Amino acid sequence: MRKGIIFVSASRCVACRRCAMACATAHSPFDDFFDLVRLGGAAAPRVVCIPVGAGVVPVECGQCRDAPCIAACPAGALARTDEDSPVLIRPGLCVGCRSCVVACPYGAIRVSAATGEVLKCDLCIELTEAGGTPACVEACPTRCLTFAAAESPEADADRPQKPLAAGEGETIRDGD
Amino acid sequence: MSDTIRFKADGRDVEGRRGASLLGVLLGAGFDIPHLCRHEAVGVYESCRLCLVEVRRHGRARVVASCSYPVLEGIEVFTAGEKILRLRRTILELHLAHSPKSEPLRRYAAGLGVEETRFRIADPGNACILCGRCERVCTEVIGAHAIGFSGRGAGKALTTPCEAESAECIGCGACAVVCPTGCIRVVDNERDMVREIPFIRARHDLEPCRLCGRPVSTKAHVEHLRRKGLDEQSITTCDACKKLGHARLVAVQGHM
Repeated sequence: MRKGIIFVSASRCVACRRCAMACATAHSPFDDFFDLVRLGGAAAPRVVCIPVGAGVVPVECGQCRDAPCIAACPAGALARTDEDSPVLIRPGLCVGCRSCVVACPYGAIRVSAATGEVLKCDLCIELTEAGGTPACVEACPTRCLTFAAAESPEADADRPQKPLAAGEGETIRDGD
Repeated sequence: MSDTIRFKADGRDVEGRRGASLLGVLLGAGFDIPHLCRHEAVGVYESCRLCLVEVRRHGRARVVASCSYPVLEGIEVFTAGEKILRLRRTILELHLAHSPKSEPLRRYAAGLGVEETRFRIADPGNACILCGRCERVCTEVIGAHAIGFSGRGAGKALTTPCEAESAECIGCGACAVVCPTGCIRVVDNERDMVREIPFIRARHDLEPCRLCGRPVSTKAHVEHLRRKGLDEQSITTCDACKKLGHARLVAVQGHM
């Protein structure tokens, strides 16, 4: 199994949103994003492309070391198998209180309006367990998204050790 | 003593862990057994009775609620025999007579072939089947103890202490999410920044996002998370602002 987290190099992003499409497809019963849309599946990407200035930034779950979502969950529905594993959700245990959504410092967890399901990056656990890379990283044509071990030196410096807060003191609105 | 229990279900060999519930093991093995009151996050309540199966043990057969029955070595289970299907249909008719207003319940029953009930409808406005999912989640998972049962028999009802607005409710809305009949609904009014959950007489002020003013959750839920020691800025900022704040940070830094 390959272990790591997803790193984002914002300057390489060309706003193609292939990461979000690949993510939605990987977490659906379909093999192809166009099938998903055509056959009426609910597109539920875990990575969301947020417009900033002229470009976009893919917001990915950082799989925080001291993950606030795990601390917030009263049902034990969010857990990791070891300290390098992604934070995974066990849907059967979720009671839908949204504490994880409120606690996440990045807004990287959301609840599907259609199904009530908690949507959170699982680093495509089935793919990485088989030695592959997450679907969004695989789909990224510019290597804006990379999958690397959290222990690699250049990686660890950037890894969120504690929650980073949204822009201090400024008012932020959608599409701003 | 082995920790793996082997038994037969509808002629198939099935294995389960000692101490596991029969329903959990059967669902895990791919059997389609109807159930409404079971939720993995909380204890067993065996109130909906829909998960009943026939168990043969030591040459004797009995009908049991599989959610509260343990897996036992060598038992024979029948999940969809004529007798079980007949009993299940009767139970669904009783649910429909008790809670005729629940649309999800009617759809669920129709999916199992029950469209109408032969029993007398006591209260046409009732949608609650008294499955206790909301009460167990509120007590065992959230730890709020905001709701509970009052009365017994025909007078049993899900309510708040003294049928008044509960001081313990944090307005998280988990009760509405786990409710299988849709009788608990969360109504958010963004204009007045109020959340109401009418079925449990809850009314909560919403916490405005510190950046955009849109609701994050109820004030009581945010306070509950604050007491858990979670980061103050995270719990007072809405989803969209947290995403945007993080995206801007990544754009400025050039990487994450």
